[in-house]
Amino acid sequence: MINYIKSEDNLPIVKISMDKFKFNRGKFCMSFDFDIDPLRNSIKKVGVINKPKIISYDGGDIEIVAGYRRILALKELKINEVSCFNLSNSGKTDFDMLLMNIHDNLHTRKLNNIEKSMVLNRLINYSKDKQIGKEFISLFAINERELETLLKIDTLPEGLKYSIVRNSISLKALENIFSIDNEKERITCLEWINKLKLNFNQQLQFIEYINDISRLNKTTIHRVLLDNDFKEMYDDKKKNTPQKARKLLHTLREKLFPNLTGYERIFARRVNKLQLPGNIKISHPRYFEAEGYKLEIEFKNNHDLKDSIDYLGKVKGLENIGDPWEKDQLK
Amino acid sequence: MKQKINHIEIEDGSQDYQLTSDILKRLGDIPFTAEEEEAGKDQLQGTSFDLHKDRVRLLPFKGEFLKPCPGTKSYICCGYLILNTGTNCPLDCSYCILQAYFNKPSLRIFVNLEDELGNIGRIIDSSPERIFRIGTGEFTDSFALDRITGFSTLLSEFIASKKNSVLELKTKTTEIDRIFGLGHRDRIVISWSLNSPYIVSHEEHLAPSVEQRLKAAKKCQEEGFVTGFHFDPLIIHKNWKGNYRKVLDLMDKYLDPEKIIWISMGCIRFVPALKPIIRKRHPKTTVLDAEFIQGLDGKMRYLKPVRIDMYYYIRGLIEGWAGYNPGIYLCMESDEIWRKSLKWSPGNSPGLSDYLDNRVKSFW
Repeated sequence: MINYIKSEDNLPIVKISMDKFKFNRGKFCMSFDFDIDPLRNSIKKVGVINKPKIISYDGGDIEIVAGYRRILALKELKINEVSCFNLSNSGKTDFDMLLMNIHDNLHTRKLNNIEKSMVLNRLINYSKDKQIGKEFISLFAINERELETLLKIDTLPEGLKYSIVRNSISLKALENIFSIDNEKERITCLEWINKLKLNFNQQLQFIEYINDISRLNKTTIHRVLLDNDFKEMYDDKKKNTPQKARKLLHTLREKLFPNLTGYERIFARRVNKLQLPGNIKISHPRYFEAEGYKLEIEFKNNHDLKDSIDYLGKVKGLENIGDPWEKDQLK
Repeated sequence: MKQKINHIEIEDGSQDYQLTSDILKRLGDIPFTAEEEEAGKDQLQGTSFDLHKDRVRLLPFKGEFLKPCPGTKSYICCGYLILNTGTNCPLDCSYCILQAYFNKPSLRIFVNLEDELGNIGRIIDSSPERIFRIGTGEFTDSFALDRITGFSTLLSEFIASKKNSVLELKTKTTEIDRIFGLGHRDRIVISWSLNSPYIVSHEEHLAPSVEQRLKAAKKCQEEGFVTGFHFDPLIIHKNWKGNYRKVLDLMDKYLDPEKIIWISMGCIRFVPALKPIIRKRHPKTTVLDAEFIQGLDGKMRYLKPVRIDMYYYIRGLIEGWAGYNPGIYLCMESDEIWRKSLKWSPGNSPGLSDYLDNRVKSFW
């Protein structure tokens, strides 16, 4: 801490013309998909409280070490010149400056997952033993599994990164997607999640179903999704996106569980044939696993109950209600 | 068994036990390191799938050595007691639940077992009316490391004086020779997990073939031991009926059904967390290529009619071979499945315990 104050006291302050900044993230900055308005308004009111830090290279190129957002806000405010601490001759290594940036950000705001990924990947590049210190795992409040996922996020196309930041793809879903070996397959999954705006539960189901189906059929995820069922579903103008999402999962489930969904259909057909009134319901246990079936009667009073029971006694076809696989069962 | 031990970890506190020096002697020149006691935290969290099956870790176990098999209320459990001699297994079966069950790697051997036998004995003696069916093959293979632990003889000698208990040593290996030197055979069941030759060769990596197992079982029967068999996990695969029939053909070739105390069956089931581990550790496996539903205990299972079909078929094969029911039972199945596949049911877990206890009584 003492060293830090001393070093900042001794740093030269330079004025950099706005047109010298390239506004790429460079080696140190890690801002991704942020709202600049609050910072711009703050600077408009009270000015820049902490000066950005830069280094300058031979030839005049400037690299921002810390303060990328501040400089961007100043640019929006049409400020032509920025006062910065110049770290060029400070003796600090790139790793020191990366840490400076990380700590500058960590204690002033919450990093999103893309930013965490950028930080962790850069740290790994500088870490001699290719291991990230436990310090950063705890700073980000992540476990080792999430660490692995975050490290891989940086490899995704830019467009998909925005979906992750905007919280439309969960970290758990990403973890499962990264368990798919083929990069193209991973991107296909993410694109479908994105275009059908699957919710977090649907994302996990989708990844599991599509992965299992492709393995079972010894084909690629891409090929499974080329199936006409999915194309027609996606092109169906009568369905909105949530309906398409549900249809997608329904179709995948039917492909992955042909027997179970077949039994469900047979059971539903048998019950429908009974043409029961709305207050009487017959249902099967989840996956037909528990023994027996359920009959529910909703009634207003004792007469209503008696009427329903009398009615049931006269219903034809009740004897057909039972295990839907019965005809296939061993004799 | 093909797995080699390449390293020994000696955890703090293990040095005081005789078994530690015995094991070190038996393992010869294998390098070893002294290790601190591990914290409770998972070591296999994250995405590390290396289970360190080439490492032995010697440690004193601080928990209860004798515990009931973790059954659930939803299915009928056999009431078996697990004697915890160690965890993890040098074999590498793709479907093995231990891959997800334990959060610490290495083949872990509990070197304080001998010292704990007194306590275990007191538990057994405190309920003389009860039959204690005890097994060591739940969290590890009972014989896979026996050449270095000697547990089979240690425990068999212990059980000799416990007249209300029976010890089942369950294995997939053929490493059984040590036990033939025992002076008695009473209340010791040597049992094998069996599977179709296809499943053995594709999924039970490093384990001997079915025929080798059955030859070992034949030798045990000839040496006067009672045997048991476990068709678990039954796995659907192409021509599964024909492939399981091959096992019965081999049983017919090598075994005397009169010397079999029980044969259990159980279709593959696994906690959902095991699936990604199987996918990662065994990418060529076919054990997941089926319709799995979540059972009443939260584990993934085949659909009910599939399980009924498999049990019904294999029961038919077994009874057709033996000419009677040689103690067939189902592992963790419902009363309904029992009735529909075996044509009878013990009704509940105490009922199954009674059935198996009676099998024990009929042998000893």
